[in-house]
Amino acid sequence: MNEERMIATFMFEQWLYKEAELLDAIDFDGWFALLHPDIQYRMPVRVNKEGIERPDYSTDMYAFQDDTHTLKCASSV
Amino acid sequence: MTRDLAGYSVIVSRDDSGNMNAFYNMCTHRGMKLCRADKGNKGRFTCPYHGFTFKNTGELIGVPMQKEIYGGQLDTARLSLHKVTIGTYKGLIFGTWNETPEPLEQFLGDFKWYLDLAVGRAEMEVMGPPQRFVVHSHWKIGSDNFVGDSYHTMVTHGSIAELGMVPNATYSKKGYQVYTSHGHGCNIGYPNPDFAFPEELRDEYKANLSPEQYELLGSLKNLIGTVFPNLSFLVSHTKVKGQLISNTSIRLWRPISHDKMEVITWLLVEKRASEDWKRRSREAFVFTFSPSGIFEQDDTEVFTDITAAAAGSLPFKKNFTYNYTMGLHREPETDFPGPGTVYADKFSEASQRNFYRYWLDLMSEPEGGAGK
Repeated sequence: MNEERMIATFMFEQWLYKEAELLDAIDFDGWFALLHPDIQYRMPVRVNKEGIERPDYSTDMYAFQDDTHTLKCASSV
Repeated sequence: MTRDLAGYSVIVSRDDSGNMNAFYNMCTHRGMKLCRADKGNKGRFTCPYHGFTFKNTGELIGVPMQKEIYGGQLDTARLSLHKVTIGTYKGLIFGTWNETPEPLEQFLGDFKWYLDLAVGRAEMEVMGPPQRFVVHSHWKIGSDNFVGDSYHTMVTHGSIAELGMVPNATYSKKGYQVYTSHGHGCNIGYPNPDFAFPEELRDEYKANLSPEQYELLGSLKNLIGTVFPNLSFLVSHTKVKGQLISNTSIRLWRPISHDKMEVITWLLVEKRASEDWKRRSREAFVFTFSPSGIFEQDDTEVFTDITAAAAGSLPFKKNFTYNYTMGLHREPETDFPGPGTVYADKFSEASQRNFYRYWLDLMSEPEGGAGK
């Protein structure tokens, strides 16, 4: 691993600690401020298919399908 | 497709002549599960163990090396897949292991009047595959919650009113509670100053519903009900991103064990609604009643803790019980246009009492009784 990559990895790690700290402190506004305004945060519903048929997930149903608005709403509940 | 019926996997398929069949998803040779996909298109099912092959009518049509190893003596006619009794109502498929059940129409009875508002008001389509999630909860807590518990909404879901997604903390009381025979029941949120459904489909609703049902639909705020024992439905009308939108879903509380269930929910949308309306309805559904939904998460937390508190032998030894006396002092409405026993607001436990009374009736039936 080169030096540049080690520094980047360290910075990302530190960022995750900072994020976790905000969540531990129930500082949802602080956490929310970390998000990019155009964020699309989705998890498609999984489907059991036989053999190698793919995709094995849905393209029109989601376990969550969030953008800034719904994330803001959910983090204020 | 494959579905679970009282703990056993079932294949539901349409054969070449268009008939719908349902079978126990088990090879009649050595008991292996035949189909492991959720859904698909198949004319025949081949067992992964020894290769016995069945037509989608249930008939055994292929046994590897049959003549040689069975000497032509294998009675394939006796090895058809085990049939499951099914019936359909407005596109819903009901199944039972009882070979001589009472007719489905009779089982649903008066409750069809209310179920129609959710699944029969227009031509409905299922959007996407179902959501499936496992909750460490006894399944009847879900049925109980949907059959008549609107009382919890102002507390469990209190924060949602604070967000302005629903009118106010006591909105959940307004409306009616209804129960019918066979343990079915629902709560009807009413009135609603806004029409919760696509305006351009009013003619279709009118054509599919009686004038009384149509009038109720016109001012429906929400509808939450359970078809005994574990099929529930929900029409919910909330404000998402500043716009009111309704979403209609049906769900199964699939028992896995006494303290675990899988919740399977399908989103229904009007087939002739605009693409934009469907998209917004899905967005509202995912945001409120998917496994990540803000209502769903509130509820599953409660269901899980109730189940944990009821575990083990202590509650039985101490004879701990719940309280289901709400509304015992009240008299039913007499001028409501729909059938069944109706109360003038939703804060009653009459529906739950009716649900458990029917459950007790069935559980107390002598073995070999008529069954349902």
